[in-house]
Amino acid sequence: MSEIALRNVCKMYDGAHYAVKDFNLEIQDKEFVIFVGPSGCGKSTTLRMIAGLEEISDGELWIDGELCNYYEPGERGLSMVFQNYALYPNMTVYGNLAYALKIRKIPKKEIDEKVHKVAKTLEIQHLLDRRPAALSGGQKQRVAIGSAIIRKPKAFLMDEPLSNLDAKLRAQMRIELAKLHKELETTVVYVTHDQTEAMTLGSRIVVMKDGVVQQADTPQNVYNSPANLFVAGFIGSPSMNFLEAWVAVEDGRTVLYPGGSELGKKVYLDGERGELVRQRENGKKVILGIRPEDIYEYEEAVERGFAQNCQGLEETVVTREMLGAEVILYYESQEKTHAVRLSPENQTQTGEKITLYFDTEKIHVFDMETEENLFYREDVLA
Amino acid sequence: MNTGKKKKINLAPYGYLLPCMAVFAVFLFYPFFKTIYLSLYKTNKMGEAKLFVGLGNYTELLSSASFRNSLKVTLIFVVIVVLGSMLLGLIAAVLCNKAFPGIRFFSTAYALPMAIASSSAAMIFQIMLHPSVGIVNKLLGLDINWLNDPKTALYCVAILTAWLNSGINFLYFSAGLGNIDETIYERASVDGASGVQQFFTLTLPGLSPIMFYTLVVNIIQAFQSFGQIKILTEGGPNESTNVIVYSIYRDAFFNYRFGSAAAQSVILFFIVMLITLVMFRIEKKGVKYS
Repeated sequence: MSEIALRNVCKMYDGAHYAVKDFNLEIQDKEFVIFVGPSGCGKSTTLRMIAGLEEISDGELWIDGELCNYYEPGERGLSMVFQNYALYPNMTVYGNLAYALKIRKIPKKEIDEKVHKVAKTLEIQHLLDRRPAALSGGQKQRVAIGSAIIRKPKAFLMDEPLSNLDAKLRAQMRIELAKLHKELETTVVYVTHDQTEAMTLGSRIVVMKDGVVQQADTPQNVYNSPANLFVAGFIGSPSMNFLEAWVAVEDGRTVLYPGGSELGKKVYLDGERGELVRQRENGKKVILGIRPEDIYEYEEAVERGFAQNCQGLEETVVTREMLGAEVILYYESQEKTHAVRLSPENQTQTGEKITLYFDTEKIHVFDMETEENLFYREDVLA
Repeated sequence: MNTGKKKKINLAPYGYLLPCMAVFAVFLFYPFFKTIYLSLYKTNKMGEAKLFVGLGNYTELLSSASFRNSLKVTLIFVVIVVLGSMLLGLIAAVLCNKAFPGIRFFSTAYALPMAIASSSAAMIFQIMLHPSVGIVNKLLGLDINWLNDPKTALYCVAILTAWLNSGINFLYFSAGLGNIDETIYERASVDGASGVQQFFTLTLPGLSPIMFYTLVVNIIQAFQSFGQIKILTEGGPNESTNVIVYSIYRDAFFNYRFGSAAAQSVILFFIVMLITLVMFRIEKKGVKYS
């Protein structure tokens, strides 16, 4: 059992500047929660407050039903993996793994057994006599994780643990971390700015910006139903395309005019979604959001049955990226670059024109002022 | 392979070395060899070698109770000075390693002793330790003649020297602490280590490379202390502060026994060299982590 609850947690610097503001989150036992956001959004600060390395300016931190605001880091029963691994340079790998146990005065024999068991799990038995300076990045990473798991903490806190590894090793360690979480069945709170890590590892993602939680939900919900413009733009690569559009009603149907009605481009929104937009934004400007993979050429739009909902938007391709399994075309509209993800068979080259159709069921509409997603429902399930 | 050409010797590099070697030759090599030469002779009052006695000066010294006392006093003095100055420097550096208001003032205060001339400091200590008007007796409510009592004089001079040497140690240790990665302390505190445990398991080992260097420098420096002893005790009372360097000075410039003074200098040189060599041998066994 290890539940962590943060209630109205704030971190304030110089009595005025908030690094984290009103952070509320209930982390369930065995959950893998990811804090994600751009640099300076307060994700690491929040994690450090949980660890006890930063003082909580306001609010409450509960771990397993105990108020832990004033507990020393060592009394919280957590363990942490740091971005730079934080291995003790004067100790061997064995010493690093055994340190937390030695501190707790656990008998030598027991320490020895645990060290060898953890070393076996992480396949670092052959490194036990080496000092950290003689290890590669990936090996250091394993030792850091080993040091964290050896004493069976209530929860693991991980602060961008994979960011110093190269792309291949990062992908490999990501899979191993997921496996390890399954094996250990322990709560993990993980900080990253890498959305791939967030999407693949997390059972829940907490997206943060400027110290404020923007959305805390499952990866699927965060991706499919972003709470606001920031989350929509932050999660997904290439990121969601945004177009300014006017809302109007035509023959009883809600219609969006990207760039204004005079351009003749239009997208119809039907059903409940159309009704909602019409009620709240009729005659006003909104932001239309569409993911690169939800844009198609005519034939596929007809096949998928939404060609009639959208007038084809003719655009000129400015860049073409062939990624093997897919091709990404970039075009410019409203002084911004937009992306379309198509099948690799598509032969449209840079400088050529392409007519694009939006999957109207996948369109998101954001309020121009509040930047909220009009279709966002907190109770939506994946 | 013989190319048939005569190899031309390039003199330019030696030319660049010449000024430096000239300075070394005049101020280091010549005095060094002259000292060894003099130590084998009896000299006249002008310091000129007059009578070759071989190792006579050395055997005379080693059988002299006064010299043996000098060796003992020097050893005690060096141990107190090295331990005291390193401990003071280390404690000050650890205290100043955290950011707090007024840190600059404290850092300056702890580093200040290195900027004070040993003679000035000795004068100040002389007043502070004065039996009737000194602040030490006033504060402690005692009536001790600190500098004239053979039991306390050596400790007083040693403590003053330790304080004087602590300034530079503070700088060395501050630099050393600055090189220790801050996150290992964070990990240790999450791991449950107390401040004391962190100090002994992380800080001290982390400082050990610089600690070695500081130790060597401090030992050499302690062996060479002179000014404060000259001013405060002049080797007395009852030879209780007659360290080798002061004994050399006294033999050479009071007793005009330059041969004996030179022999003592050579012995001091070998003691320092031996200690340094032993320490370098120990260092190779492991104080580096990278």
